[in-house]
Amino acid sequence: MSFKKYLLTRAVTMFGVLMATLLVTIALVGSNMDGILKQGIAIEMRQQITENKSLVASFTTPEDLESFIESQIDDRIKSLGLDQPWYSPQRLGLTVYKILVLDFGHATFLTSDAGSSDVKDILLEKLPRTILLFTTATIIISLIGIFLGAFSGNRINSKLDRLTSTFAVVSSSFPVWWIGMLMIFVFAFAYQIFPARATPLIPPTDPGYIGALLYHMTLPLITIVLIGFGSWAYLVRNFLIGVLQEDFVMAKKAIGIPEKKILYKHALKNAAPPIVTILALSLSGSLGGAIITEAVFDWPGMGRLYYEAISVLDLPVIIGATYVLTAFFLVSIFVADILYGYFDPRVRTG
Amino acid sequence: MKLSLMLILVVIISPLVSYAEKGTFVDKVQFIQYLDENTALEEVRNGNLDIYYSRVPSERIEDPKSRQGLNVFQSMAGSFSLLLNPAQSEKFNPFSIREVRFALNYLVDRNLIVNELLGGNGVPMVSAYNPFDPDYLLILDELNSFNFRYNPALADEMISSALLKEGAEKIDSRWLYDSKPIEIIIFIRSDDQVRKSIGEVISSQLEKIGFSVKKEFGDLNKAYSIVYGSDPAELKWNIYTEGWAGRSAFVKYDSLTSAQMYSPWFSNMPGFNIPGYWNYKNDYIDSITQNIFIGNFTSAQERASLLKESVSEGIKESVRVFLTSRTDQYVSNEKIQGIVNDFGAGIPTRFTPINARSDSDSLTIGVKQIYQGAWNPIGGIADLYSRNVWDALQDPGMFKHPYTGENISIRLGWKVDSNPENPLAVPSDAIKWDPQQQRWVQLGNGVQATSKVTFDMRFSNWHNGQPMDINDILYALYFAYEWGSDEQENDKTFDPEYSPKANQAIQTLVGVRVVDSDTIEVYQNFWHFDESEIADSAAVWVTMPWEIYLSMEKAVTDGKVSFSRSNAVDKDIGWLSLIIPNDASMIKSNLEEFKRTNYIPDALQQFESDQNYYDSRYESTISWIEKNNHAVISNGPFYLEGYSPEARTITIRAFDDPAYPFEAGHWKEFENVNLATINSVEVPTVVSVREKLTIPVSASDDSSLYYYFTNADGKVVDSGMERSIDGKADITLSEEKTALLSVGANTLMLFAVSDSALRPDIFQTSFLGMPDAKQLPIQNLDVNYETSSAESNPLVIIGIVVGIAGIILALRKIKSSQVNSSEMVKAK
Repeated sequence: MSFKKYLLTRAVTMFGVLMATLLVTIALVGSNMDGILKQGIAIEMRQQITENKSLVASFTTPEDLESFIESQIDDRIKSLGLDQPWYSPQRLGLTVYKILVLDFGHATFLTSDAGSSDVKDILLEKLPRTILLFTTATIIISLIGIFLGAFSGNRINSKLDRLTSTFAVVSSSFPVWWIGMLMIFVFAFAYQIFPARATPLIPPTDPGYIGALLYHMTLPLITIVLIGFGSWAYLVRNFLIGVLQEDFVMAKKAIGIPEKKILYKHALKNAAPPIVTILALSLSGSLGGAIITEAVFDWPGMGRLYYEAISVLDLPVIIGATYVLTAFFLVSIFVADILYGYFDPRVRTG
Repeated sequence: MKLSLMLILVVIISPLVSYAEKGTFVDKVQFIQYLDENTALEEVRNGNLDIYYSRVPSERIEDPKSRQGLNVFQSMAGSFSLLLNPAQSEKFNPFSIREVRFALNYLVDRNLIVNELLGGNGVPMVSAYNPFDPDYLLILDELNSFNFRYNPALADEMISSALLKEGAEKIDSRWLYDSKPIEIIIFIRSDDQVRKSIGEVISSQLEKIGFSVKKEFGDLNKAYSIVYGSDPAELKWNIYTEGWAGRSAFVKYDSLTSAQMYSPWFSNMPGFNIPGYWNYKNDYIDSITQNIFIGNFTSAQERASLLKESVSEGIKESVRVFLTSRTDQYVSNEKIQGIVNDFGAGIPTRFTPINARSDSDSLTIGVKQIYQGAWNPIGGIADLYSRNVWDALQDPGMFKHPYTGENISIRLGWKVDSNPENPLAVPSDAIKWDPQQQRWVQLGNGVQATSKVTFDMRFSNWHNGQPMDINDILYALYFAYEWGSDEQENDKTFDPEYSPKANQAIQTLVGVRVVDSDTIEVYQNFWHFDESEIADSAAVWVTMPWEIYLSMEKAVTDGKVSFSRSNAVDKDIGWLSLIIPNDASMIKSNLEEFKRTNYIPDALQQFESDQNYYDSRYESTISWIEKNNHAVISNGPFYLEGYSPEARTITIRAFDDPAYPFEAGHWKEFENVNLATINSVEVPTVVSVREKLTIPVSASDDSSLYYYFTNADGKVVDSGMERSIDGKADITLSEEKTALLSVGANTLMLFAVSDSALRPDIFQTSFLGMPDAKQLPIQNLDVNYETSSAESNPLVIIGIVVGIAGIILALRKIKSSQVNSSEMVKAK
């Protein structure tokens, strides 16, 4: 198969997966959502109107109030397009078409912190925050993990190796948010070294903003890295142990190639395909954020957005976020596949 | 001589007409988003935050040590109830029987819910009104007459009697109908830990008395499908664990609670008036609650009587059984003084930032959300978080007293003339806006109105420095008429959220008459026995300058943005938010166009023709937007400095302006709640019936003491009210009344209320009624001895010790036999 054909096949598959994910999301959420949303709107509208005391006082009969509430509910249902079933051509077709042209429309309930209800704006606001914290942390974790894993893989049963393995098991046993809370308690409340809130109070236009941002995000970053790198190192170590026992490594050792060169140039390259796969999945996975960790560190990113969107059934936001994350996931898998070919020529030729 | 006289006069008069410079103690307030309440609590404790505007977990501040460094405020937060499905169906539904529903009032242990599930942070409720509602005292004797107490034996007896009558049978302690177990499906809200526990407790009680209980767990979305979205006759649920949010304002005359909680017409009872579904019907309760709603009463007594009747009928029907109210805890740093804890809104009331004092000149307030929706005065500022900030930026015309719920004047003084029997003649020069002619028209002769309210308006400067004037008021009135008029084809001045409400509101408004530059008469068809309610209904006031309204109108009618969220979603355009730079820029460019074209709005043409006036208004607002990058201009004690989406903070600063009418500390009276307290009640443990009884009470001075004596049958023997004078009062029960007391346990309930805070201090005690007070109930003493605890019984203790010793010996024996057998295996 030529590389061009390979790319084309991959692109078509990815598009198919993207559309399938989209349709499944719409079908799963949309079919249940309409009924729930209509009930929610009815209750919310009734509450809104009855809380408006001066408005309520203007009705001379209960029937007038009732018919007013009913008409308001109907209007709201109509304005949200809920008067038609989710599978109607207008709703389904329009949604798919709009998404194809990257128009996610306006959110039904949520807004960005900057005040926009355009789903694109909301995603563009939350995604960089998540990338800044979680993706940065994932990159640091993978770098530390790879080097530490390679180091301890080359010295099996050494003190460092045993320490890495133990640390990997212990750190993986704790959820990030729990360690986060402890870290906040110790470093923000007991000793007040770092702030508890991860975002600085000064505006980005302030010259000291970058420094303040780095200072504020130190605590969550350290926490995520602390919890994550042990298991990474453990994985890399195990991959390397297998590779280091292969004949070609023995042969290279026999012909006198320095150990460091064998480890970092040859062994690590051979162990790279599974590492690249995990790295790609971790990076794309990091874009989804983490709901509780974001809440603990006051970091409103993608995880919290997803949670809020599902809580209030904001379908445009759910679809938009799913679409973007799926697209990122597919792209990272695609990149991983290409890298696979680089690291392992058998994959390329196969 | 004349000059010196004038100077003297100026010196004498000046204090009377002087204005304040700053209406707040602090110069700056910064609202900072803190999503996690645990973090926020620690930040308040450490002094990084001064106040947190959301509830904090009560378990984190349970003991005095955990409260160190904090001031803790309690706020009524809502209530819990059970919604019962009374539908009649092919399948037998025990809750279709009124007596079975009513019996649940005795089956639920409200004190257990308060003490164990809410950790004491709540109060038992038997009706839709909790003890801290302004109307509670009006219905108290009615509530007491039910004598609800946790009494599962009585509940069992009542349920058994009702079910046996219907042909059910109890076999092996299980209820059967048509030889099948009677099943109750309880929908338990699992997303709320308290409601989950309530569901478990109720399920267990129902199981105990012989029902088969099926527990269905779910969140609100699932409840929308099963409880609200299914026909009650399908019996997908029998009981639903409901939760109610607290009220945002402490309102003295509530017209809807009884309708909302008990009456089918309000569409909040099973069936929810959805056509095709089985619907709960009750014409009697409908008629009473409708009379309350439309104000079909001529006095406070008549209203109270209707309220009593509606609650009594609601409880007897017991389609909704109330359990408890919930109290939330709010915190501030102990260094902060002057916080106002409104009975409705809690500490996030507008008076808190205005009256709070700190050792620095700024306050930092933590908020759960910083931006939940657009900021515009028509269809925005709708969420609680925006309102909390906005309330500090604007002075309303009238407001609710934080502790009595009465209407108080902020910027509007009022005088009411009304006569519901003989309507008043409206002066012919009174005016109203005619959307057809696009001008103000005089009403002419022969027009009548139920009431006339003369408002004396206290103007000041807008935040941009321009003086408020009558044109601002007239433009706001025009806006309500224009946007509230019936929708025409291609009507650009129509918003699906705002217009129907405005249309409804202007139905009662007959017209207005401008008396002078700061006085206006409002004629309307609305009456209430409390004049301040009439004034509240007629209040005309505005909190943004007319040119902002004008520019917003243009932006909306041009189709660029929408006032309301639903219209924005419908049209796929933005929701106008004056706090956002992009939208502010749009407002500014409209104003620049108005200025360039010397535009005079139609609504003001008949009142003001000086172009300089318009230019000055446009210019000031343009400059404001250029300087501040937002278009939020109001008249309150703070102005908006800015909103930072990146930092998630909103900063407001004190509006230091000589025209601002209230000095710092003006609202200080709200800082200390004058709550009535009961210090001591000297009730004898044993009371002789048929003898006069006098109970001395020590309570806070000048408070009203409402008392209720209830006998063992739950009947109110006597009730009344005494005023405490110099902190003392005597409650006296005549010989005739004590004769009605039971020989046995009787109850006294005492409520102390002050005139300036409608939150009662409650005292309750039991006492023994005896034919002769000298005779003691010997039998009861015997019972006490018999039920004494195991710890104090030596025989029980010896039994336990012997049992433990026996177990240890048996274990040793087993162990030694195992060792022997393993040795035998090894030997093999």
